[in-house]
Amino acid sequence: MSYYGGVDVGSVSCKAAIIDASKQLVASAIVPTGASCREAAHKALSIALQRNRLSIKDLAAVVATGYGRDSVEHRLFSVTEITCHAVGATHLFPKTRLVIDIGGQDCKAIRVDEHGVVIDFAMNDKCAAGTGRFFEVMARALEVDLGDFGAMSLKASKQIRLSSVCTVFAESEVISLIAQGERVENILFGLCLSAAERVKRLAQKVGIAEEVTVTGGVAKNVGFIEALSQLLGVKMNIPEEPQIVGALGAALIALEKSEKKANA
Amino acid sequence: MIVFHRKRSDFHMEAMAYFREIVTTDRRIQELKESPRMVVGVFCNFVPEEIIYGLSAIPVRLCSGDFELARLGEEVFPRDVCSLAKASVGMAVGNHPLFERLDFVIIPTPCDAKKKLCNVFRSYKQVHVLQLPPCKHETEAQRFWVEQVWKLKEKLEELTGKKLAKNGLKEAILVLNRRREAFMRFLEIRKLTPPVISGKEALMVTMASFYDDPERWTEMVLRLCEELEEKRSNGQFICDIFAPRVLITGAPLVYPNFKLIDIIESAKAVVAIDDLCSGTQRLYQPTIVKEWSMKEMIRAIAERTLLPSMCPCFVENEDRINRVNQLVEEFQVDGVIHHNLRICPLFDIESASIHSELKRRNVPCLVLSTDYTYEDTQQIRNRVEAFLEMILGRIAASKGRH
Repeated sequence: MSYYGGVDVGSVSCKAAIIDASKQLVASAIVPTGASCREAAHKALSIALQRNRLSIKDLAAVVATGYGRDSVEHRLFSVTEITCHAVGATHLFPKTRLVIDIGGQDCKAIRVDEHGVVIDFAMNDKCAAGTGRFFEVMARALEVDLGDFGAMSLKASKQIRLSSVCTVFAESEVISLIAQGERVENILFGLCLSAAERVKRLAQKVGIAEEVTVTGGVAKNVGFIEALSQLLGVKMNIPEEPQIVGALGAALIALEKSEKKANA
Repeated sequence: MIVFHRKRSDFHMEAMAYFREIVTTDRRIQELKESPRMVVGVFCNFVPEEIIYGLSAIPVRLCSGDFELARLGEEVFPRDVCSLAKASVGMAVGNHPLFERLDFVIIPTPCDAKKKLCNVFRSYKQVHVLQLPPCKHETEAQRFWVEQVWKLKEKLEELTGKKLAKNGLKEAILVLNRRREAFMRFLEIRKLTPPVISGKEALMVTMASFYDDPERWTEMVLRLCEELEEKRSNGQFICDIFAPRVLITGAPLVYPNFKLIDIIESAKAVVAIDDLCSGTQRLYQPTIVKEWSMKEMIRAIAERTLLPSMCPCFVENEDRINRVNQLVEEFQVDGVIHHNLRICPLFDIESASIHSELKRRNVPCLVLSTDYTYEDTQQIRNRVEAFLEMILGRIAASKGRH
């Protein structure tokens, strides 16, 4: 049996996914990227392999993606995360027409056609607004565990509109709301709405489509997903493990390229 | 009329090496230092070079792409001004040898930064402000512009102490029209695929015309065309037929700010053509004169410098999207990259309509905002690579379906 690996070296975490020849996900792993992309990639791939009692020799091909993609060892080649997220998301949800990926330090909107081919994309520009970083900073300011952020925000009793989308200004706005005695849950949902607003504007650049798949770590935040679906008003798919969709896409590309080579 | 700085070695060197030398070394500055003629600094493509040459002076275009000069410019201009304007200020502040050689400067007024540049430059050089109308298609705007060109002629006569002769102006028009013809021949070669010249080298050829003697430049371009045709018949292509062909539109790219073009071409694509004011736009249009009277020549020069401009400083600017569409067809373009120079709102605002119009025509378009710094190189590279993957994916998908 041949296996195919995908490694997605992101700014915050490094993800690995392994699939078999029938495109089934057999193992995955997520580790912090830290200071060395190379080591993080090696570690993520090793953990994923161990989970399925495999070794690097069992991998027919590895494709790397993410900002640290060019420092991944054993890679057949590199592909950008835009292509990989599109491939991964349309594999999981074939009717996807818009992929919204929200990672640690950036977010992107990727429009795909009915064949899963990327037709347009937009990325936020050098700014933490509406990214994983934004939620991290706000959780700290509100002394809330990042894992509880979403669930708590859904208990909001009213909708607060924050005027700033900038992480730095939003933080000081949050601090003054706390000082005014505003309920933490309300502030949390207000932050989700403000991040969703930002993501909506990005999605509008490529065109909002009837079926959206959200990937990346922030997709785990149920409050943000609720806010985004309120704003977009369309069906939203959330993968079981949204963080590894890019790595999955990379593994699928590794399989496809190997098959093409074998047929050539 | 035009003093010819011909060096024997020019004709023994590969033509491209010549253009590279003009753009990247101080050779031309040395020539200008030794020249007894007046040297006039200009910005944009609005300044009628014919009148300057007609008075035996030499125009040099000052628009700068230098990151170090942009940093120097921050001593005078606020940080939140576009890199090009700051770099131009930097030439004055940093005593750049080309700037020092200038006898005077002509600055058109397409944007706020250029308007304020006039004041800064006045502390260093004599400056003439060439006022632009906001709506170029209006009759009164065109009348106003012709008046501005007459005013410039008078100013230049005063500064040079010469009277612009009919024959001198006619000869200058003919010389510049020949320069344009050579450029058009060069563009014909760039239409062919696979390409024999990179977009970066092609931009250097155009940029050399910022400073170079126009007759020498024309001769070297014709030589370059011969060399490229020979390369073509020998099958010496710079990349294969599958390399995506990109068009760059938007804000000017000026040497040494080749960051974007380097990223595109190192990602195995080729910049097949551009419509930049620092590139193709500069030499695209001839001056069409109906009769060789002074009045008619001035009118024709005014027309050439105003109407074909695709600068977003004008209220209506459909000319740019029309030109982009035309070039996409003619140069077999697979995708368009719209370059925004950070803090220039004019290109930034227009990029949305260019993007949506191209999308409507099913032409992939990527909008990028950057400046002369290198801090965003990885982010730009990521977007460009994703864009090229998208183009190749679309081509593969459409082939698969047919």
